[in-house]
Amino acid sequence: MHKSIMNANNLQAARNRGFFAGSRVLAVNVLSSPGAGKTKLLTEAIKMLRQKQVDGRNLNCGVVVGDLETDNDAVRLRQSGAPVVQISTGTLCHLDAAMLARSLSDLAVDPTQLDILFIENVGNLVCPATFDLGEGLRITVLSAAEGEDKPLKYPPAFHFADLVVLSKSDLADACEFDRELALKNIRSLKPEVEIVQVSAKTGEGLEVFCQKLIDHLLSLKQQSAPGLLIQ
Amino acid sequence: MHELSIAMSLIELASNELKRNGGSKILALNVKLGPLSGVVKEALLAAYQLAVSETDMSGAVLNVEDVPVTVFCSDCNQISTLSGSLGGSLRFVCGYCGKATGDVRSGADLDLVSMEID
Repeated sequence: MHKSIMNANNLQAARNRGFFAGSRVLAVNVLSSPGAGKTKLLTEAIKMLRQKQVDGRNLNCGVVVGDLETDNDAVRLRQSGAPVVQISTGTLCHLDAAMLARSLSDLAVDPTQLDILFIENVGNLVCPATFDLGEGLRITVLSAAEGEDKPLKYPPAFHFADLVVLSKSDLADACEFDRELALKNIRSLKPEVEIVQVSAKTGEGLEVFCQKLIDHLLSLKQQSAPGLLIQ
Repeated sequence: MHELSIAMSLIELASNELKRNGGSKILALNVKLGPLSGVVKEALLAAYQLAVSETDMSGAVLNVEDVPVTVFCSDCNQISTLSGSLGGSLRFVCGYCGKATGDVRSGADLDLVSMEID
């Protein structure tokens, strides 16, 4: 026998992945430590994405956000204009695939009509890395204030990222953030990972970040061409 | 501390396997664990002791075997085993040519591989 202990979560994650691929929704799982700026980054990115057009219409975004307590992040994220669902995990340190599946029915819109669904995970660089949610893209955010060696301290969070965002780049000088060392540390864990530097506050890099998301969305739309439609 | 929910998943998985195999009692669980799983061995063992004591599997021993990280290099067509600790001296490079590679072939393992049943 050889069975994954994560089997129950992985099965649900596979169902989620199939749902997202079939609906051609780019599901983006966003990980970081508390306070790295996930909420601000997503709020500003969604404002920009909602002005971008793909296939002749503006992009539709939605957000599922996980926190132990409070709906403060959901309130902030709604300023972007996108529908937001808050999951309160109580004492649980991560989102799992079943929680994500349940939350989709609480979105104010039909999730199949979204282009991009952001999943703002619980602020924690340890546990969320182990739980596949069925996302199409995993982003790990590292803020300039956290130090260059964070990737080395929390390897799985960076190893399993498809895209790493260096956030709060406006603070880099004040924090004496060594960008080259941070890049080297990230690449030591995942040589081919995409990395983008963003300040959600000043807008630096936000356009590049949004374009990367659109590129992933377009490649998803091409991969999963419409299947058999039985009338 | 997600190890407790993982220990509970393990116990559920094992008790389902026991039912499928028709045994009466689990003596031991053999698990393979890689450093990329994000699960700490000591924390898993402690969480397992706590979780199993309240179940009818109480007394079943958990054996954890460490699995190293291995990577594949497409230039050399070889799999190499990485040494050093994750976040320490371990580097994702081919052991033959030294080229960086993120093509991981093992090390994220979190698997129940066998059980000893009475």
